[in-house]
Amino acid sequence: MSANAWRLDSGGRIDRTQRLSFRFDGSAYQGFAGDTLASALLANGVRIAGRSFKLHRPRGLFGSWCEEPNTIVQIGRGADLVPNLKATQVELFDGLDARSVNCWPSARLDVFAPLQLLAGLMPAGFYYKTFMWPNWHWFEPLVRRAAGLGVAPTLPDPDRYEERYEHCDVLVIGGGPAGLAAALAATRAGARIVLVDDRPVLGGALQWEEHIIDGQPALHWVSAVESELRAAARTRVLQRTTAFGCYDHNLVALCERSERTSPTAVRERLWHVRAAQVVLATGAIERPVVFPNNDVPGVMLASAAMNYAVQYAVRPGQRAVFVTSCDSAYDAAEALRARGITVVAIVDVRGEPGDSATSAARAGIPVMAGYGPARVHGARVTRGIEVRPLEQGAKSWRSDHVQRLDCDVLCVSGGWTPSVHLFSQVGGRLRYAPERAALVPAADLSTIRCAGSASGSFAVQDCLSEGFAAGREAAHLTGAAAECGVTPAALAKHAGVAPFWASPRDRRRKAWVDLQNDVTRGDLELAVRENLHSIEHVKRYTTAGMAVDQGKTSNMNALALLAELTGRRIPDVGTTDPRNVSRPARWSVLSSAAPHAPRPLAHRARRRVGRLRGLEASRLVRCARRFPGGARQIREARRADCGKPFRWFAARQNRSTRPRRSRFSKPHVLQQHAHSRRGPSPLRHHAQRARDHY
Amino acid sequence: MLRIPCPWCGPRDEPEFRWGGEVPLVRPGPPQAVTESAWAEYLFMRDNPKGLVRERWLHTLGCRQWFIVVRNTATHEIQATSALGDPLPEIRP
Amino acid sequence: MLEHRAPLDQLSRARNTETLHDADAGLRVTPVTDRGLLLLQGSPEDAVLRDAIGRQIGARVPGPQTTDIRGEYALLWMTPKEWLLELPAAETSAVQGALVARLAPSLAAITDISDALACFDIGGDPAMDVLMTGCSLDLRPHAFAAGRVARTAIADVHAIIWKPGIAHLFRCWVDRSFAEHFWNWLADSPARW
Repeated sequence: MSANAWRLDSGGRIDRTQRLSFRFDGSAYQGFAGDTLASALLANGVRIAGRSFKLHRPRGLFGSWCEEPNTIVQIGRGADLVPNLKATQVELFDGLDARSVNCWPSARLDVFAPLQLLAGLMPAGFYYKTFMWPNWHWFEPLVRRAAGLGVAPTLPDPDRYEERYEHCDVLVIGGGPAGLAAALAATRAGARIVLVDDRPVLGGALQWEEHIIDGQPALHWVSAVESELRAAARTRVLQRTTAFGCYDHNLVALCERSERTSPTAVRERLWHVRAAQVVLATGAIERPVVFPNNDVPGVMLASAAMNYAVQYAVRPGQRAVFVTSCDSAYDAAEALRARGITVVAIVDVRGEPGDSATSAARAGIPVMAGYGPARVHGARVTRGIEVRPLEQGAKSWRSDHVQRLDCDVLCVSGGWTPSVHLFSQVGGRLRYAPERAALVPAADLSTIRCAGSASGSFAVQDCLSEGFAAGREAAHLTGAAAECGVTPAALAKHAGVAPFWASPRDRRRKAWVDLQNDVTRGDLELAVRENLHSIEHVKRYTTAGMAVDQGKTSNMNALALLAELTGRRIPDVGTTDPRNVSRPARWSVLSSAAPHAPRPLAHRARRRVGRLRGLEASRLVRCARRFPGGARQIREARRADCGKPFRWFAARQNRSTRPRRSRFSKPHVLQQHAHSRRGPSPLRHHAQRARDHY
Repeated sequence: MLRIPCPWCGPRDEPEFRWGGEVPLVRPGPPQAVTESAWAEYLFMRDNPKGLVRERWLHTLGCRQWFIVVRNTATHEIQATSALGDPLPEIRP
Repeated sequence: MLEHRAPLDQLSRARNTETLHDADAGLRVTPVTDRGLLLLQGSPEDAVLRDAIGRQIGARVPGPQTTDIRGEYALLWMTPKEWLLELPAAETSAVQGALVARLAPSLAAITDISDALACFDIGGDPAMDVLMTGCSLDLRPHAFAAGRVARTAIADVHAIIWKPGIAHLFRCWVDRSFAEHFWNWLADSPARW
């Protein structure tokens, strides 16, 4: 008999000899070395690990790494308080004291929970309409208190932060199969490289997916590559390091988190890496499917369930149902079944799922092809799911026949979304690839290339070959042309996927698009009814894809639903611009203030970010000068609009865009965005209006 | 942050430099003969094109020399640099 | 009469130390007090200037980013029309006098700036790593070879950095008013790296 119904008796990459005690919301729990806070919570049977942003609905773990939208925690107290962390990314340590945010006294018992009953009064953008009289500022403190993601620390940060400049021939971002293959090729070619990975262990998805690479288990291949890279004198491997910004001329900003060894040790380090060539092997994030009640604790991404079961030896549930439109979920189902979890069924929305389904059925997992999820049963925990047969094309139900499947974990997979934030930041263009149901890089830039899942090649054999080729080419372009050896090869796996964003609409129930910001399908419909058609406007009105999460799991679904609602094709809707600092980074590390450095810290941090962004943020203020006529007009304009001498440029732009000074009044911002190759944005919109005026 | 190849010091980061405006920029003269509109034109009007532009930069923290940069205002690509006194670099479209 | 104070006088009193030596990391920072600096300004095409340098110290006028080292003398390129002559402090005024005489027929100028800058030697295995925490230059050996000199910013202050030889040693000058700041920044570095 297992001591714990949630922890598997064996397996996993955790150290069972090393028990760690930690606290969550005031209760004491135990986990093992190698756990994350999320896996340890799951192993202790904590199902409700957070409350939603607006309605305080109970939420559970949904992802297993940076994609997690629900479980935002803050750890420590007093000066050591660190807010705004995802439980999935917090490595467990002894004495960890974590609290869920946006709830009181705990996530399980939240006094604000009754807000859910008022959901009808709080559609998207309700605060734009409801609290306007007599003055929004009277209500603002209350609303901000009820909705929020944690508390900022009030005491000075006692830790040390540093910065470091680095130069290299090839910078490889991502330590999964594609990144490792790229680093391997570039190292063998003789280039000076830096490999960056944001996880504590290299391998990426190879840590939990089962593959055979070069005739050996994937993890053996990972450790062989790791030792080869570490032995190479010209290669630097940075783990626990997040690349959060990609700037002009191949400047990449990294945040390295160190393991805490002594109180004076550096806590986090900001790297400014200037690379001749960049290989983005940032992988992909699995996408959920939109259907009624899809936010109940127990609904999670199929990849996350597999990750918890394989890497951390945690049962995500006892009875699992899979809802999928792609082949990767079959591997997850097989992994869970092999670990003693009952897989009730795989509900595949595709009418003809292909070989994966055949082999799953042969292994004894029931496959319901052509069915879709109709609703989830359960309020505080998943109790089951209703499925209904879908029409061909999955746009409507084929019959009223509803079948209920009992389960306590529902694994969803609607395909994969490449992580192309860094690529988009530097102006890389995306195209919609229907056969992959994803927005993928349209073409590599001259010094920045994407490889593996980040470029939409989700199968492991393609990740390895693309990564290896990208690393070799990048190294060759920098003049390192030594022999790279043979491309690592993996046994081929299926990676078929069909576009499926949402079940047919059920008007009686809420279907969640963005879990972090409590955005439902109804909210998107409301935005469209109110004539907001641009994806940027819809994002700002509904808050879909905002905040910490930046829509890692939700953007693609929101985009596809908006396309459907407005009768456009997905490429015509376009995408929102990913902004830099694409993963949260702390003020402290951005300012990298040494103890003797002048404060205030926020000022230094802003200056530093400004410097990273360079021209875009600061210098072009002197560059934007375009006026219609001679001196007389300029003097008149100055008198009419500005009153102050020497503010003439601001005045001119103001008159053409809006009557009063606003945040859009800075001409350099306008001009810069008008001229930049970055995609559409409200700023650009204003800039175009400003230019049309002339 | 741009990386600007100074003709004297080699590639350096942007904070070491100061931007000095488009070239060529010819001051009208003689002062008595300059009309107000010509003067305004000289003071305030710049082409500010989208695309390649020749501009002056000063390497403040390095060799303290002014030099010419051909920069693409849309992509920030730097096509050429040249020291002052050398012929103006060609703009290759 | 005014009291003469060398750039590092204040510093050594405040710190009461001459050398910063981190045995664990192998970093060694030494304030350099026995070297003088003459700033030479003129045209690189000026035959008088080239001749004067050649006759006085036997050096050639170095091109951009490079130095010419002759025994105790080193001529460092600063800008297209400026060079720094680094020499033993005791000889500064004598060499300056001799050069002034030799340069009389040309427009070149020579100025003693020994007391304007504070000089530090930063040596040991981690020297490059320590400097790259505050300097955006590529200081890796293949990129910043022996003899290279650069004016740039280190630790947010204007600095001159010179690699005299192939050893892990950099010589840095900062304005004397920043000496304390620079020292503190270096003293803080063992914890940093």
